[in-house]
This record gives sequence, structure tokens and C-alpha cells, in this order.
Amino acid sequence: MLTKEQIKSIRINIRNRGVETIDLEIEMLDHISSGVEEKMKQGASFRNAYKAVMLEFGPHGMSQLQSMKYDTLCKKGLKLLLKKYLELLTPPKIFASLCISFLLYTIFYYFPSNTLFKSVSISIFFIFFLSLLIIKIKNHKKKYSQIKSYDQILSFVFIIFNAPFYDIFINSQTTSVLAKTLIIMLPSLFFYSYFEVFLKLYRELEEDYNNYVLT
Amino acid sequence: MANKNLYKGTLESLIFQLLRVNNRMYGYEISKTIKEQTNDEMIISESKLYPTLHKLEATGMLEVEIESTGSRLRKYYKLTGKGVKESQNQLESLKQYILSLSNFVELKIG
Repeated sequence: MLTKEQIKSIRINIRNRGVETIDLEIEMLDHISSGVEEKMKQGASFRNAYKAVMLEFGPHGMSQLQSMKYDTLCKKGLKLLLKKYLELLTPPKIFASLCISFLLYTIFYYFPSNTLFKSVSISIFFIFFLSLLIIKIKNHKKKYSQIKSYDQILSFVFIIFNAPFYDIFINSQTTSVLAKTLIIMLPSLFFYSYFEVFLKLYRELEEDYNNYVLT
Repeated sequence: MANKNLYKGTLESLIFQLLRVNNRMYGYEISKTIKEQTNDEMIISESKLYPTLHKLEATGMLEVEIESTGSRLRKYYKLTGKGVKESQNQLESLKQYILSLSNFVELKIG
């Protein structure tokens, strides 16, 4: 049986080796401790047993496991995003989405001038793009940076693809009102879904991590 | 000692089978049991075992229970309803694979 101090030192070492998510930390701590305890039962000292178990992981083993854990989380996030998106596109939520989108379309339509509309929409997209870029640079070496990068790539792709659509179709005379409303609605709902899913995902991760106090 | 490559691709099936028999298990226990049951021929590295467990958890095949062992927390894995069905399919496929392979191994020349 390991002492509290020995467990604490293992836990600190796990964090130093790049483990960021709490469930992986719990798992690694238990795995290493179980391995160390078994070797100690066979007569090894804590130090030697610990060294032997850590050798099995290799120098980058833990950070690789963390990276793979993020990949799994991202895939799960994408599935949740699709589920959320489809949920918003089915009754009764689709009626609310259509009403809000039509309202947005009306605001765009009655904008005083085409040039003003273009400059406002492009400015909004530009500000959004810039703020995401700043967040990305700021969080580059912080916790969950990997999952955040994944999330931001999606938003960049969204902005790049979405901006021309607004410009071409909303101001076109040949596009019907319903089509214009849908052009606003579909990407906006996608954006809303992914924000909700991914923000929830790393808020949960961060809360778990902060609530789990080193004992 | 058998060629380790022969065991590749069977990890998921082994995890399913172990959880069917033992109801719930934790990571270290799974890796130790596989090692013991295969007479040290199949040693599962942590870099293979945990991503597989996490993938099965994310796809809803496994569910997790976290319990205290006194000095630390332990994460147990168990099959979900979906996992039980999948484990039956995997076991059938594994049996079929072994049977086909066995027929092939016993093939006589001429």
C-alpha cells in the first residue's frame, strides 16, 4: 500500500508529463500505483518499482495518451454537434429557428444601403476572425490547446465559406425569400451548435480539473 | 512464443470478452488478466489499451464507474446494453475467424 506522499508525488509527475484531463489522470495514477504496489510486493523499493513502471510508458507515453484522448473527445464532440444540429432542424425547434432567421433577413434586407450592408457584414466577420485568432495565439500553450485548436479550425472554415454566401445571395434579386432565410439559418445554426457543444466540452474538462484538488 | 503480430486486431474482442465474464474491470486489471490468460504471450502496452478503452467509452459500448480504493480513485469499465450486443457479435466473429484459421492450418498438401 502506497503512502499519501508517494501517491501525491506520482500524481504531480503525471501532470508534469502532459496529462491534462482528470479522468486520464485518475486512470494513470491508478495504473502506475497498481504496478508499483505489485513490484513492491516482490521486494522492490518504491523508487525502483516506480522507475520500472515509468519505463513501460516511455518518455512521451503520457503526452501521447493525452493526445489520443483529445482525438477521441473531438470525434465525440463532432458527433454531438451533428446531433445538436439535426435537433435544431426538426420540429418544434425548426419553427423558432425559421422565425429568428426571417427576422435577421428582414433586418439585412431593410439595411439603408448595399455598401453599408457589405461593410457591416464584412467588418463583423473580420472582427470575429481576428478575435478567434487572438484567442488561438493566447491559448497556444495552455491547457486543452489541442481541443481548442480543433474547434477554431472549424470556425475559420465556417467564416471563410459563409461570408461570400451572405454577400452573393442576400443581395441577389433572383433568390427567393425562403432561400435567403435558409442561407442565414443553416450556417448560423451550425455555428450555434458547435459553439454550444465544444464550449460545454472544455468547460466541463476545466471544471473537473479545477474541482479535483491535489490531496 | 507466438508472433505478436498475430494478436493484432484482437484487443477489442478480448476486452469485450473479459468484461462479459467479469462484469466490470479497471485498466491495469485488464492488461494483467490478458497477460496471465495468454501465458505472457500477449502484453498490452498502455498506449494501445487506454485509447481502445476510451474509444469504446466514447462510442457508447462501455460505461464508467469511478470508485475510491481508499488511497486513490479507480475507474471501472463495464459493458452497456449496446456493448453487450456488440460483444456477442465480436465473439461470434472471433470464433469464426479461429475456425477458418484452424481449417487453414490443418490443410494437407496433395
